[in-house]
Amino acid sequence: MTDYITFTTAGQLFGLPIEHVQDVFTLANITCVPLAGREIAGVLNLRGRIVTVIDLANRLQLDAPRDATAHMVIGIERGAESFGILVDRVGEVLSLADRDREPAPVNLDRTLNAAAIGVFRLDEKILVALDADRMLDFGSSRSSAAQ
Amino acid sequence: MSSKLRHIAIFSGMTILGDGSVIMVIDPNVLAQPLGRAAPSQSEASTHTAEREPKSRQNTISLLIFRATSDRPKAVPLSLVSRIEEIDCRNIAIADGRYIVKYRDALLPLLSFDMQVQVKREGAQPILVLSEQNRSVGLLIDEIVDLAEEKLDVKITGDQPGILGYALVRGITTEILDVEFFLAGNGSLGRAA
Repeated sequence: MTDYITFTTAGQLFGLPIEHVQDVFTLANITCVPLAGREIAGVLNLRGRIVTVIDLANRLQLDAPRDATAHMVIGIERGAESFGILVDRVGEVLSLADRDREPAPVNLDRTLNAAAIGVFRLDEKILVALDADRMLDFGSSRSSAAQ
Repeated sequence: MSSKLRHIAIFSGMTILGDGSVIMVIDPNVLAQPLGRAAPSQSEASTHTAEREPKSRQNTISLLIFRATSDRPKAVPLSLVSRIEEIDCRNIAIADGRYIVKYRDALLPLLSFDMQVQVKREGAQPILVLSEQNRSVGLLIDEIVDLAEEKLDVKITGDQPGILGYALVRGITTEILDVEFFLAGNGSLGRAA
């Protein structure tokens, strides 16, 4: 069994193993970074640490309309850096059995597929389980992912 | 610098401002490149060498020139000033008979050269934040005048509290701030008796 924090963006339900999650907070006082690429929503200050906020919908190239009102950020750490995943809404924590996780469908978009570790079939929805390292693996730091 | 932003040449880093917001720091050399100007360290230095050389040999420092409680200019080495802030006077409170202001996560005692000065209760008040290890104080000033690169040579020691002495800054007799005096908590503003 793994605990997943669930969240929605661009109409799709996602989950991230909770072991990576440090914070969940509302987006406020974000500084946009010009020239950073669509995946980067900007940077912000969380209790004295600079957090690089990643726009999940842009990172996964999801086209569906965004929920403009609710903006939540899921704070995760990787190495010595703090990242925030900007999503539309954060849901509850679900305990899901590893054996229930199915491989991502073949027709799933390539970018989404690369970041996912699988899908869970819930009552009426599909939850895409994301891998934190693979989700953060984009842009110029891709070549140094081996570290 | 974030590993995701390191590739953007125009930004050399990022920092947190006094109000808590994050800003990107621009590398001026990269900014100047599309204009076809070489970095100042290369071409401009050669034309200005004659002017600058005498001063660089004298070990000049950056001095912050300001005015506080009188028209005579005062100066302090910029390296001793932690931050230059403008506080909202509505955030000034009185505790234990002294003026303090909430600053970041701490309370900053407000000090002045003139202990009788009337503290404004609304509008903006410029202050110099002087810090040492984990102690900080806020010195009330009237305005920042300028920044100068000068050789600091304190000539006459001062007998005025808060002043180390006098020095010639840009040819004008300037009072040099005694940072230690204020860090020790002197100059604390109290309510008029």
